Amino acid sequence: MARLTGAMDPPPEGMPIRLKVWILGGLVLMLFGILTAQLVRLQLLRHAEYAARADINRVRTLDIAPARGLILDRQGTLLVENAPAWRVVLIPADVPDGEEDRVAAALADILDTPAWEIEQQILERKASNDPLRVLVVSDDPTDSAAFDISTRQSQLPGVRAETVSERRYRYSEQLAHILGYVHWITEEEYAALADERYLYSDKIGQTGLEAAYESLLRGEPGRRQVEVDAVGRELRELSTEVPVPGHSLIVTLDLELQTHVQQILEAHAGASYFAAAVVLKVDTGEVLSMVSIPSYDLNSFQDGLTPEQWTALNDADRQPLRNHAIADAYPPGSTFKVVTAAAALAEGTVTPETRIHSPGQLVVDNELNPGIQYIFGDTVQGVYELRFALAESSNVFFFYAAGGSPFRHPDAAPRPEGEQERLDALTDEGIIAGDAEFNGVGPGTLAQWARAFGFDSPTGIDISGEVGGLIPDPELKQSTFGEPWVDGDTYNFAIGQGFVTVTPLQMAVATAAIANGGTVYEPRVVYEVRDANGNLVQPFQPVVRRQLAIDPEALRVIREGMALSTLAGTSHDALVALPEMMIGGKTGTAEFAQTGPAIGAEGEEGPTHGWFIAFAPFDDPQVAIAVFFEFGAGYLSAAAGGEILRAWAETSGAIEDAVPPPYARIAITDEENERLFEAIRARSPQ
Amino acid sequence: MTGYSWRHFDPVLLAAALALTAYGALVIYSASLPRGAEGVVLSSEVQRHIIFAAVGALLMIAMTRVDYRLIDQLGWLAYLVGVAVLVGVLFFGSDDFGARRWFDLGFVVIQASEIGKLMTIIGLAKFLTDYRDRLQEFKIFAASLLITVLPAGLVFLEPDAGSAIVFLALWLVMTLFAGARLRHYAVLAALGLCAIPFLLAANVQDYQRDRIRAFLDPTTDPQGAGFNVIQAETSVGSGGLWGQGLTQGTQTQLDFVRIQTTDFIFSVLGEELGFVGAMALFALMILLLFRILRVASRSPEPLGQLLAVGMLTMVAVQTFINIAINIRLLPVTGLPLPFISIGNSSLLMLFIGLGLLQSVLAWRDDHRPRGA
Repeated sequence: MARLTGAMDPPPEGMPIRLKVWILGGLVLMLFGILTAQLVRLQLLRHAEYAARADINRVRTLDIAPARGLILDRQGTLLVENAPAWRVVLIPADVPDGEEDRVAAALADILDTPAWEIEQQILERKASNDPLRVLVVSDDPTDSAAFDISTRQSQLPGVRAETVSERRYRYSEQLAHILGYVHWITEEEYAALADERYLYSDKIGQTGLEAAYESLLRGEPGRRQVEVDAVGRELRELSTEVPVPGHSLIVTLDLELQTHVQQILEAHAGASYFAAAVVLKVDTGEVLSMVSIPSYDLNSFQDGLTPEQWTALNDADRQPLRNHAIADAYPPGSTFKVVTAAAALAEGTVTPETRIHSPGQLVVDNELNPGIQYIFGDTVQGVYELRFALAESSNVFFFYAAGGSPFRHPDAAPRPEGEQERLDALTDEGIIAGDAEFNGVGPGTLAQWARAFGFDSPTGIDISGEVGGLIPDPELKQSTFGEPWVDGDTYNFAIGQGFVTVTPLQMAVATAAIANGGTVYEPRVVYEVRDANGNLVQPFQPVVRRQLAIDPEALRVIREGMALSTLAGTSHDALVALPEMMIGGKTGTAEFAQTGPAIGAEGEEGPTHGWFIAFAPFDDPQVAIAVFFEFGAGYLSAAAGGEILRAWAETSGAIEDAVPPPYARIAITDEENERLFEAIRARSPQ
Repeated sequence: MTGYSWRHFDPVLLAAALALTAYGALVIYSASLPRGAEGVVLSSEVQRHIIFAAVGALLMIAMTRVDYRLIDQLGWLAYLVGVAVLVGVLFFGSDDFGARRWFDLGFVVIQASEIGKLMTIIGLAKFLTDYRDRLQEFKIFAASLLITVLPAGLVFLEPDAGSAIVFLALWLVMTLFAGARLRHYAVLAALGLCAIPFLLAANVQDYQRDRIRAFLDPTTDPQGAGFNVIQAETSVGSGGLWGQGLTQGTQTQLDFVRIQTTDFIFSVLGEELGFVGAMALFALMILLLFRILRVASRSPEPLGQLLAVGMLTMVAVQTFINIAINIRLLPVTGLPLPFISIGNSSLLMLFIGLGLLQSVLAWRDDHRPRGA
């Protein structure tokens, strides 16, 4: 170049015209060469990339929300349906630059919300990397606001009022905890579920069936590809993929029974903050009814809550949103004795004939200081075999069964005059009494049996929010509390106190296992799943969680004890409510406010939960129930339980074939007891 | 005095110009096609383009008859008329997006800078011919620059930075061709470098800064200044080898590219007619430019040569800058693509300029002594 330009310098005629023309011609070719090189790059080498970009410009994919699946009962009664509702959305990219404030102001005027908020959201979204994503301006505009927006379309570029579908819960009050509710997908959920084709317009199940069956209820969104011009106007449809509606759920629940159960719980609630009841079919695990009170109105979530409603829903004591049948665990009290009984029979620790003497309390000496004694109280006294121990709910019988005879310090003060003689006389008759050698099941083995019955872990029911409760054992206590297990812990464990907590549903599942001969089912709320056209997608299939390794005869004995409980024991109030049908039951009165190793005789003055478990009919068990009152007593719960079983018997028609029990009053004498037992034995299924 | 001779008329030059104009009409037809139009709809833009091309062709032929050496007498007058037009537009031009670039005469819109460019070519050619023996003197060299800077500055004030650049390109190529000393350019370049910061601070408008920023990174403002750059590039790239077909380009037809009948018309051509269409355009352009160069080499005296070189520079530089903007090689400045873009004044001035060159060819055998 230097040489060339040098030649162009002096003299003026130094460079011939011809050469200058050649140079200019060369420059021209060079310029076009540069352009051609870039065109080769854009049009030939990177063509596909630019073609894709042009398509992104041109083709807008609009998702079509699928209809969410319905929920029905087995009679075909619609429990949840979809109803049309309005909402106001805008596409930030379609709001022209510089008009954000005007559009926001116009929207604010119609929707009665602060303009700056809308404007800020629009600006934020426009600056984000996805300005095409829909921004929801209002979830529940009034009809007139939606109409205003539709008619003023030209002044509101990018904005539209669209119809969406909203969940309508038909029997919200009875079914709130079962059905659960949905809410609009949040920003976080949308981001997290981006791969599963969730749409901005989707609702996601939060609790109950809506949450547990989210993937089936939701369906698959369709999509429409449309060609748009530079300002986002739709020009023509390129393709349509029809959405697939969500599947319908047919629930196992009996709506009528559910309604009755709720009324019964409310009638018996008394001072309870909350209560729950579960009715299961014993041979399938189907949930016929599951009620938690207080309930709430699912529809109110979509209509917008009033401050009063909000306060009521957040009541810390009553916790209406919580499904108390599964979402919290409580000490089961004496209802747990059926588990202790099963463990003791299965392990051979006791036989149905083993007799244990309860003097009304169990006294355990401190291992180091004989001056210190721990008293474990009982509400009854006498000599008990297992069936009668269940019937009358003897604590001491199960203390022995689980923990063996109580520790007596070698240096303990001698027993009062005559008492030792009486104990020796009992021992001579083969009755377990005092500190005579007797080994219980032990806490570790009892814990294994409790877990086999389904405690200490969620039952696996198909609604969300279930907890597992707690079954303690020595290792757990050591690792959790850093304290060694003591005999007193075993005694508390035996009667469902201390560290033991269970859910009402777990209690019902265990009762069903006792009633059905040892099968632990996973309870089910959904009977079958059908597609939108009614075709069966998923038939009902009972899920067996475990078969208990226990002699059916042992369970039979427990059932007989439970029958005795209704006829001649603590569950008598159930019999009063349903005298037409022979049933088996067990009460529980569980202390919950006090903690500590000892259940003193006066301990039961503290606040107690009321429990009742039962199965019916005795001759051919079909259902198992668990009833729980936050504040109550076993015998009161038995009354409610009896009414629930009556409601079941009447709604199911089982009352027609019911055979009354042989005796409808509490036996008093040993002879009467003996005759009563013979009558029960005669009807007891294998 | 032998006078002119039609023997020397260059039909190829005329044909190339007409072919380019027709090509332009075709692209404008597609770019201005109303959405959803059935069949062939010739918009008023296409019609005007064709009419002005016809008028231009007639003017070109008519110009052949006029002795270009009239410039010896009237060159300065022409230059002054050009300057007057540029001054006038600043006061009487129609205000359009904050710029005054046009006279709106009702039936026709005249772009002042197009007249200014041709008149400056004439003025510079006259000056460089008159002072060709003294061009080695710095003051003569500087005077040539002043002659250019006056109209260039006026155009810059409109504001129209793109056209101002074309003026400077005219001066650079024409003075180099005339044989100015390279040392003098070096001196000017040094002075210019010192002045740049002041010029920028004083004169670069916000929109120009935005455009430069948008060129450097168009994604910073995808909906604003960078939008068209990205969309034009996308258009051209999506055209591929054969293009989407005339009137079939989605970028064009769905209006993703703005001002697509003028500054961004090449994006339309690139999208719809592809690499092949672009090469056809380049071939026609190169043919035209080489026929202009042929005029320079055939003209026996400097005035004719300089006129040809000026025209060559104007067409080549505008073509290059316009296309380079469309394919993201240069930042956005508003310049039409010669013969292709809509622009009545541009088209007329191009044909008149080429007519001047036909005159140079026609009168080449008339060896009347200069200045007689």
